[in-house]
This record gives sequence, C-alpha cells and structure tokens, in this order.
Amino acid sequence: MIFFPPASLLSWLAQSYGDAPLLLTPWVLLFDFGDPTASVPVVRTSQILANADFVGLAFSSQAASLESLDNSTIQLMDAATGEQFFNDPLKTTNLCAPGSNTSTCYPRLIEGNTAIVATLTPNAAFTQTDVMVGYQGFLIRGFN
Amino acid sequence: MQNSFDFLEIDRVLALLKPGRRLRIKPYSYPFNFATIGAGLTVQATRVIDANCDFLWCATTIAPQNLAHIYGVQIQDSGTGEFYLPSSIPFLFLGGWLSFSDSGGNSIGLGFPRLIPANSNLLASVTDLTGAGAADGQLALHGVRVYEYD
Repeated sequence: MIFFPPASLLSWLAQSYGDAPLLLTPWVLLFDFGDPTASVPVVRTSQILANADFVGLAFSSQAASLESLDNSTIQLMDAATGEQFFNDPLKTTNLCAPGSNTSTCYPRLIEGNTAIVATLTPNAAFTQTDVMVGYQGFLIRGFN
Repeated sequence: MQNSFDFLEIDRVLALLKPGRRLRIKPYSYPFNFATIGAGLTVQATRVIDANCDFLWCATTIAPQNLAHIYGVQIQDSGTGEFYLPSSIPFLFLGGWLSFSDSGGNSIGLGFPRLIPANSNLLASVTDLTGAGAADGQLALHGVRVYEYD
C-alpha cells in the first residue's frame, strides 16, 4: 500500500505546475539486476521519458525465492545532477521489502529525460537470483 | 516502511517550525552500519547529518528485518549529549511493523517527526537483547532533507 492520497499529490504538484492541466500516468522504473554474483556490484540505469516528469513514491523488490535481499546494499542516483538518494548505501531491505510497496516519506519529483542509476552491491553471502527493484510512482505531462 | 501521516503534513509541520522561510524538501535516508554484537553487548555507529540541510526524521527501519526483535536501540546527539530515546529500547517499539514476515514488512513511522539540525553528529548504540549475540546489520533513519532559502 502506498500512503499518498491522490488529492494531496495534486495539491503538491500545483506548487510546480501551477494551473496547467496535467496528465498523470502510473509508472514503474524497473531495475533488473539479473543474477548478481556475490561481492560484485551491479549497476542498472532506468531512463525517464523525454516528454514527461516522474514522481517517485515507493520501492519494492523481488527475487526468485521471494526472500528478502538482506545480503546486499543499494544506492540510487540522479544521473543528471549526481544527487544520491541516500547518505550512504542502504541495506536493500531497509529500502524495500519483497512483494510489498514501501513508501518513501515524501514524493520525489524527477525531471524528464534524465536517468536514474541504481547500484546493487551484494555481499559475500549473497545467493539470490532474478533480482529486481522497482521505483513506483507516476509520470506527469503538463499542457499549457 | 509505511508513512503514518499524509506527506503534506510534513509541509505543514516544517512551515510551523521554520516560519517565513522558503523550503525545498526531498526524501532522504541516513543508514548506521553496525558490526556483529557479542553476547549481551552493545556496538555503536555514527553518522553526521549533511551540513547544508536539516533532516526531518519520520520513520526507522532495521536490517536484517527478521531479527528486528533482538536489537535494542538508542540514539544520541553527540554535540548536545541529548538522548533521543528514554533508554535502549527494543527496536520494535521504535519501528514496529504493520505487517511482518520473515521476508519483510512495513515499518510504521514515528508518532511525530523530529527535526535534526544540519551537521549534527549522531551516535547509534545497538544492543543484543538475547544474551546470545546478534548479527551485524544496518539501522536506517528515513525522512526528508530540508533546504532553506531566504
């Protein structure tokens, strides 16, 4: 469950987009890490469409066994600005639980045509396969 | 992690705490990596809040999640000496779960967010509550960065 009331989001978007009519489309940025090798970082990039901004709300993860990704850390970065999402890489389970949308405390507005870079660093005990992390939110297209 | 209040409440709280200031707010997290804990012992980890913005602490998680009940947690502001919690309390009283399984869960947020000034030096103490030792892990404070503009 994502606790972001749609009316609150619309009110919040008005701070950035004013009275412009908005087309909002639910969206997920997927980071497919495949079958990571223990102790070898995996970097994946997800491109945001050129004609839409993205608001990120929550993260979720999955792996083949639906088990948690405790034995790994993750960091995300806005490739356009170099801004990191966390002060230091988070244990993946501190960011998201498998099969469970994990809200961030506040929505993050990311401009269109940038890319989000995710770095998953498995530790020596990591054995998960088919690892994916999703960044859920919605696309915004504004019209003047 | 699960928010316990509408995110616009963060805007309203910060408007009251910082009246008249233009603010920019972004989600952010501060992790504390702690080492393996010996039987009945405590380990410590530090983290400095970024110098260019305050941090509004809203929620807390710990990993490994399936061991959340065996960790006691205390956080102290090393600069002021202030303890954030009444004592070393079991983690589940700080970030209990809305739903929980061995593979994960949704941690609830704080009852009220806490504003931590920029450049604060936080010291997290994590205690083994089992008396048998506990695995290494990571405590994470989640919230928002608060940038102020004139």
